[in-house]
Parts: sequence; C-alpha cells; structure tokens
Amino acid sequence: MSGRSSPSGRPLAPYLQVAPLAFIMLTMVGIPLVTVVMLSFWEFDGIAVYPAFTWANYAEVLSSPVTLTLFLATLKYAFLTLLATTLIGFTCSYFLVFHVRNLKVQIGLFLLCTIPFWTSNVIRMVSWIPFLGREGLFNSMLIKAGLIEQPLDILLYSDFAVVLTYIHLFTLFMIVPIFNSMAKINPNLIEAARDAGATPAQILWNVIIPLSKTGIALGSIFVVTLVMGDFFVVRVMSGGQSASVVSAMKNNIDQLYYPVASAMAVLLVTVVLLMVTAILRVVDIRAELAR
Amino acid sequence: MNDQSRIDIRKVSKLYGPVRAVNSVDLTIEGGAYCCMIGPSGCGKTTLLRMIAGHETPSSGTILIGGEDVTRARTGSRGTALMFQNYALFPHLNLTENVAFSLKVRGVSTAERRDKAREMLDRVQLLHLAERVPSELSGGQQQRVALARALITNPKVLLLDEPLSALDEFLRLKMRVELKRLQSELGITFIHVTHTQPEAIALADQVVVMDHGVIDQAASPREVYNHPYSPYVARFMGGQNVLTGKVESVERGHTVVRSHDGTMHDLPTVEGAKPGDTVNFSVRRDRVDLSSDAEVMRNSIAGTVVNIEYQGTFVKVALDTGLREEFVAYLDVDKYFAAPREVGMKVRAAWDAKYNHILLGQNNSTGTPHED
Repeated sequence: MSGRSSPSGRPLAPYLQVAPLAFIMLTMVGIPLVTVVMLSFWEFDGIAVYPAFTWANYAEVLSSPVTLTLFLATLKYAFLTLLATTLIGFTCSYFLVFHVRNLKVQIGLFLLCTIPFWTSNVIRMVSWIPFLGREGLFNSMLIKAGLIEQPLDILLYSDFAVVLTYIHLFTLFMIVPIFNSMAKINPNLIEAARDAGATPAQILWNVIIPLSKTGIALGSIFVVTLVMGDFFVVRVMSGGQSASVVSAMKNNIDQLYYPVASAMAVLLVTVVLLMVTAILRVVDIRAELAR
Repeated sequence: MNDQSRIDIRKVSKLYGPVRAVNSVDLTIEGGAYCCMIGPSGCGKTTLLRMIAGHETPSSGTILIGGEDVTRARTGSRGTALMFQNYALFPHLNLTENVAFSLKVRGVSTAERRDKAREMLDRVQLLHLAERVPSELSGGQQQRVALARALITNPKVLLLDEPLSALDEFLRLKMRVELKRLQSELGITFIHVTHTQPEAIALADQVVVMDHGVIDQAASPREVYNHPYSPYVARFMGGQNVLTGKVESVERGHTVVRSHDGTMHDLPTVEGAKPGDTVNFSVRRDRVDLSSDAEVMRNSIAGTVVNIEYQGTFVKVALDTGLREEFVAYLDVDKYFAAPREVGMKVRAAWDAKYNHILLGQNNSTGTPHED
C-alpha cells in the first residue's frame, strides 16, 4: 500500500486512517492495561492503596500455593473445553461444508447454530440448572428409565457442569472460524486426493485438517481466552466449590485488595499471551490468511 | 498399441435428475492413443472423463480399462490419473510432497517416495524448485507439477481436463508439444478434454466430437476435419461451409441437389435419398474460388462480400448469401491479389463438384466454431 503524499511530502492520510482504531485501542485497551500494571506495583496495607513501586504483591501471589492450584484448575477447564469444542466444531463444520451440498440449506443450518446466541449468556447457563439438578430432568429421566437408583450428584455444581456450560457457550466460536477456513478448501483438492488413491480418513488427515488449521487455531484462541477470563460460569455452575483465576481475583476485588488482584491479572495476561503465542507458533495465521 | 490401457465405453449414460448429461455413449479408445474429446461446454465431455476417472458413477452402462470392468471400481485403484483443470495442487505441501502424495497414501516409505518424487520433478525440469509451495510457481510450472503428480503412479490412462485452458497462448503451444512428446514417450493412453478445435486436431490420434451428451463423430483428426459426419461437426470443427438443398434427381453414381437459390449441386450417391428429400452437405473453405456474379454455374453460390481478412498465408473472404450463416472462402494469396475484391461486391463462389461432402448426421446445431 502506498499512501498519497501531502504537498509537504509527509503522508498524512495513512495516520488519519488508523487514528480511529488507534484511539479506541488506546482508551479501551491501552490505558486500562497500563493502570492494572501500575496498580500491581502499588503498596497496600489492608486499608488503603498508596502509590509506590513494590514487588510485594507479586511475592504474595507467587508464594501462595493457592495460585498454582487456581491456575491448574483454570488450565484444566481451558484444556477440556478446547478439546471438546474443537471436536464438535470440526465435526459440525465438516458436515456443513462437505455433506450439505445445497448452499441455502448450508446457510440455514449455520444460522441454526447461532440460535442459542439469541438469548443472553446467563440465561443459557442458568437453563442447565433445572436440567442437571438432583431433581432435574436428566436425573429423573435416568431414574424413570431404571438406569440409576439414586440421582447423580456429579451432574450439577461440579467440574462437569462447568465444562459442559463452557462447551455450550463457546462451541460457536470454534465452528465459525473452522467453517470459514474449510469452506475455502477447493473441492478439487479433495477429488485430487481421492484420485491419488487416498481413503476418506487419509483425505481428512492429509488434506482437510491441514487446510483447516487456521480456523482451528483462531477458534482455539477465542475459546482459550474466553475460558481463562471467566469467573461467572465457574462460580454458578460449580456452586462455589471450584474457583478459577478470575473468580479468585473477583474475591480480592470484593475485599478491596486491588494491588494483589492486579498482580494476579498481570500474571494471567502473561500466561494467556504465552498460550496464544504457542498457538501462533504452531500455525502461521498471517501467512495462512493471506493465502 | 497396448491392450493394457485400452478403454471400452459401452452404453454409458449419466443422468442428473431428468438431465441426460451423457446419453448411451459407445466408444473404444485404443491403448496408447491420444484421444481428444471436444465439444461446447455442457456437451458431456467432462462428465464422461470423470466417469472414466471414477469421480462419477454411470447411471447405466459399463466402462472397461484394459478389458477389466472398472465401472464401479474405486477412484485411484483403476489405473487412471486425472489432471485437473486448475491443477488442484495441495497448497500446504511443497512440490516434492505434492508429487509424492499418492505414494504416501499407498504407504510407500518416506525415503523411497521422496526419491521417486524428485526423479519425477527432474523429468518435468522442476527439481530446482522441489522445496517450494505451489503458490510460488507460475501457471506453466504448476501444470508441470500436476503432470508429475498424475504420472508418479505409472497410470495406464492419463486423463486431462482442459489442461491448457488456464495458460496464455505462448505457453499453451509449448505445453501442447510437451504433452504430445510425453505421451509418445510413455506409450499410455491420454484422454484430453478440450473445447478448442486446433488443440484437438494438433494432438489427437482420435478426435471425439460431442454434443448434448452424445458422440457425433469419433475418428482421426483428418477424417473429422475433412469428412465431418453432421452439420454440427462441420461447423464446430471449422474450415467448412455447410449448405442445404433438396434432392432434384437421383442418378447412378450421383445425386443432384438444388440449393435455396436454385443452383444445382452434384453430390455423390446419397443412400436412400428420394427426390424432394433435404440433404446437408459441406464444402471446405479452402477449396472455393471466387468469380463474378454474372456467370451461373453448378456447384456455386452467389453472395455479397461482407468481410475480407488478410491472414498471411491465405485471404479469408466472408459472403452474405441470404442464409443465416456466412459463406467463407479461404483464397490463395497470389490468386486473390491478382483480382482483389471489396466489401459490398457481388460475387459467386464456386468449387469443383468432387469437393461436395455429404453430411449424413442429423445434428444441425450451430456449435461454436473455433477458427485458426
């Protein structure tokens, strides 16, 4: 791209073009982030916060055994959710792209995937409770069917319920990018693979998955960041029995422990950035998108 | 000629709903022949090719390769390789991996398939680019990779779906030569789908002219060009003027036909023709001479000159004869410039009776002639 130079020789137009986005990024992302980082170094005596430069907050966070437990719990949720959403997202996209021949049906089914999003996250999450509860639909169904004698406790207020809710909430974020990259696969490539003697499994492994990995990577970034940043689902669906990094942060904030919460936040951002970097290492999204 | 790569197509039809894309086609392609299938888009040539490749299953009929019934055999196990119109190279694999793909899915070891792929790339003069990915190559190079990928399994039959249509004119002529050379080197059957008449004429041992899902004529290029079977073939292959007349009299050895303007034409015997029947016949454009309009003679047609094009080796003169298609004469350069014509002149095109060729086939569709 070549910007048109103003008469003085300094190109102004490109700067004006990026100005709105730069402004939004600066005010909505830059300033809050800098504030959090700054706050994480301030002093706190249990009553008030003082401007300072101290590592004490980090020392507290890092020396606490709870921190590791929290991160491991959150990473476990992220990993399980990622695994399930990738499998479901890939399967749905594969069906939509390669089995639904009719474009109108394809678009229709795709919109069907978005129907849950017509209601709020909270309602979608809470609607699991009457279904999964001790006296809930699923348990009474199993009891009526004679499969179990006692209602299953594991269904609600458990890690299972948390992960299930995450999957429900976030699978679409996986379907959309995978569908998008799969739809770009030239059908001739699949015929060429078949012509070379490849079995359907070999076509899937050697052609479709490699060519969908941009979508898988993008979807993974969405899902990982969403799960890592959540506290509400964990709190409600685990019935307060489990905690994630952010729910611990929320507790700190509720007790006005701002600097400690900030230090935790900085740590979380670092971990998430590392994860995203790892994903980008595996898949060169920029090069793939330019293709 | 080897029987291993001979193809027999027997009563093959393909229906898409009510549409007969291919309608009860019978065709034999000799082993080791270069066969060109030609016709306008939608004539069924690509569907037929894809059925031979196994990407489509015939609704009825059988396909034999080397005497073996492969009608329902799995693609990739019937000894065919298809080269796609836009090459369909795998964008995420480098050239070596692309070429080695079919060896990989057959379970050949990494080292062996790598060596074979490099050997094949060397054969198409692309070894120096073995580690590149397809998007870094030019169209001509991509096509050579596609060829190498198709040939690595030593197929009995190579199927080419409009292989030259994505190339520019210069490369097209160059690749045409390479294809022909490769085919005679390998000695396997090539089936080449095209809609370009000079390509078919130049390459093929056997030209198959198709229209509306049926084969109008399958013969050598000289036969198809000189003795088209139907008005459609004559028009589509080009180089011919198609005329129509009513049988005036039938004599032993020849039939006299009266054309729309009353001129008599002396044709060879038309099987079973009675006076009053309509007969189509053709005369090659380069067998025609022009004279002044005044003289009335047999085997001629009067018209007004509407266009004159100097073509280097001949002069192309188009006449409006009152029919829906122009009558075209290719005239010898020296002869023409001895008596040049002008647009608007009334002239008479005449030819020797022996150049009248009867068109037996009934397919009278216009086709889209590709000239030069």
